Amino acid sequence: MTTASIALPPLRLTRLETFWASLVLPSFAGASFAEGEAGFTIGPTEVDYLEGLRRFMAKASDKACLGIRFAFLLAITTPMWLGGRMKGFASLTPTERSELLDRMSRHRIFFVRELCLLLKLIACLAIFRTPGTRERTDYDGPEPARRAAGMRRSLPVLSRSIPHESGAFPTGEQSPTQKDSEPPAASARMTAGGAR
Amino acid sequence: MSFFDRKPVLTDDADFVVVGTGAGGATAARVLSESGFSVVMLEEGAYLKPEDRPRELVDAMAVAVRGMATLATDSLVPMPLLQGSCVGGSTAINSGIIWRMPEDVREVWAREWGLSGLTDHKLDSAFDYIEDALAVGPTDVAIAGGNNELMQRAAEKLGLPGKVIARNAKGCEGNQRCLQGCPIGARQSMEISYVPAAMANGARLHTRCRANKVRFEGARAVGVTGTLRDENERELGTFEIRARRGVIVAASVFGTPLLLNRSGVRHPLLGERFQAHPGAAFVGAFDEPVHMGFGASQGYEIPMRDRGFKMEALALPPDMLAARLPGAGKAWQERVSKLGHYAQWGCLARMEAKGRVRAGLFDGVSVRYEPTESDLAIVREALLLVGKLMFAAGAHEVYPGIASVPEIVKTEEDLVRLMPEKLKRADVHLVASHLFGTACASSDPKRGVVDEHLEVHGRPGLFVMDASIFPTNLGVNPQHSIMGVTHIAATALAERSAARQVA
Repeated sequence: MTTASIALPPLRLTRLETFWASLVLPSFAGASFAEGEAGFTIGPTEVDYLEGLRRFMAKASDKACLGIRFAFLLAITTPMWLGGRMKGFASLTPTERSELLDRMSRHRIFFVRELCLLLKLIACLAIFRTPGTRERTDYDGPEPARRAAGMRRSLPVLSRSIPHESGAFPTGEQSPTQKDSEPPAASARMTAGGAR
Repeated sequence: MSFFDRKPVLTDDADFVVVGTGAGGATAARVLSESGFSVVMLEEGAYLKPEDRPRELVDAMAVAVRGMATLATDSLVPMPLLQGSCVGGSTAINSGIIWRMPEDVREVWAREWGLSGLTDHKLDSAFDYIEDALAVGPTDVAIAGGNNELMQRAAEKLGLPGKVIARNAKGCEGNQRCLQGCPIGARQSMEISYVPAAMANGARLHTRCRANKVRFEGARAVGVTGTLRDENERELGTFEIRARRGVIVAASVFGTPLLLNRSGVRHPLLGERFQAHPGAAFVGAFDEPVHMGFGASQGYEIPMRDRGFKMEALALPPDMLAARLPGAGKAWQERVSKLGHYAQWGCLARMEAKGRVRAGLFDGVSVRYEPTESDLAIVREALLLVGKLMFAAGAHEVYPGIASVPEIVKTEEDLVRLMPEKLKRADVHLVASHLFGTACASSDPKRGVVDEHLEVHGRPGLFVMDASIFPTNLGVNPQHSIMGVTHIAATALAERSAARQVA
């Protein structure tokens, strides 16, 4: 029996495509913020986008890899077909690049939007693979404090107290065998093995 | 030695060979090994220990999700198809949601497909057994997390019939890592529960073994051959496993029909009747902290089966959540800095559409599947309700992700006004994770690839025990139904085999 390991092949892109990737992927999060401004910033060399891309492409389907290559071609030529200017992507400012990618993500043609989303996802996978980035987003919240409180919590918006005795949400049980859109009885509770 | 002369590098034999270790294969292996039969399990993917499952999504998906979740339907508007690709199959990447097979589905299967033996009282007993074995229980409020709690509050506000999700989790700490793989092994997915149980009974597991063909002697299935591969899909050699009593194919709705077809099984319905529960989701921005990073990945749902859909809270890893937020550049980065203030809830539709699965040039599989207009109408209704729930819970912005609707919607009235009367397929990003059909069961050999014992018609000793045999989709999460039906069929198979042994 073998266990998992991640020994991946080299990036499956040409040198030109690799250059495009190194221009496009950082452009989703290319803005910098002034002191005191709230924004998620990434240092210029903090994220290894190409390593994220390599890991994604190593296991992605053949069709997706083809799509990624086409997506880079589309993205790199957005100044012409989307911006209406005979300019290269590399010669644009970070803000201009972001604007074009933003427009690409809202394009009326499905596959243009989807390919842009695919690139954005790859950029995000690379960003959040980088140590320290996740912690800068407030995604997890104050976990140590929550653990210290015995893992009991409720959101500020949930001002009503939640009974913990039953170890279940204070809501009506609905068994899968029950008629499904009938509102559950107000007093009903899920019990252990509640799907029965 | 030439290519054609080469000897297998792995040989083994057992009473039963099980291809696949997902909900169906693992259940069959456990039941048969508990009955005293020797079993060999074959798995295409790797065995992942809980502590070895990476938190970072790209690394986690690389080892556990087929094609990094990029396997998709063949269409101008492709739909991603989610499947696990490691020991445990899709149970190793799902949220552990447990639903018994609904009564109406059981009735249809019995009445129209002649499957009363799989859906009668024995199924209730099987569900009881499985629920005990997997420690099924409701999501504890202590680890529910903001994403689930907010949805509950919204459902109560709108008077919708929501419920806490029953899951197969034991000692869940709310790590919100169901997709990446539970690092403490709390979710009782097959690689944590049934596969080790089968191995404790003497079953043997061979990983990174891709089954190419079922071997027959006459019409009878007698073994499985295939290739051993490394983690980068490079071929290392071949294997041959001999089965004295039977071969059980549980290689998923894609793998099963392709393996049967390569093995020479012919039936007009093989690869046909592919069905799914495709879904889409809205993200809502809240003033209050949600902190999606803590809590059960899915702990609250609102089933609306009479309307053809169900709504679920679905927490996303930070990478996926960030990618789902609209925009690029400064505005997007501002949103990402508040990643703790978003909730995501989605819907799954019980679609009437039926597709088909064939061998394909790309990725070895070609899936044709297109939702009907009626399916899209259900998705529209469900998504509208999801949006209403979000505003009822206090969202100040909702990101529908629907092409014909603005990226950011600020009020319920705007959402209702802007939502198109008729949703087009290209408007919405659908993903399918519950997959059915392609080798459906029926007592009538003309209507089913396998019979009521899940044995392939006309091929003694060859069984199919996974979601491929489902003649219809369910409208609820399928893991429990796959395990329940397999439990019955494997128990009956063990009894028949034992009786033959005595005779």
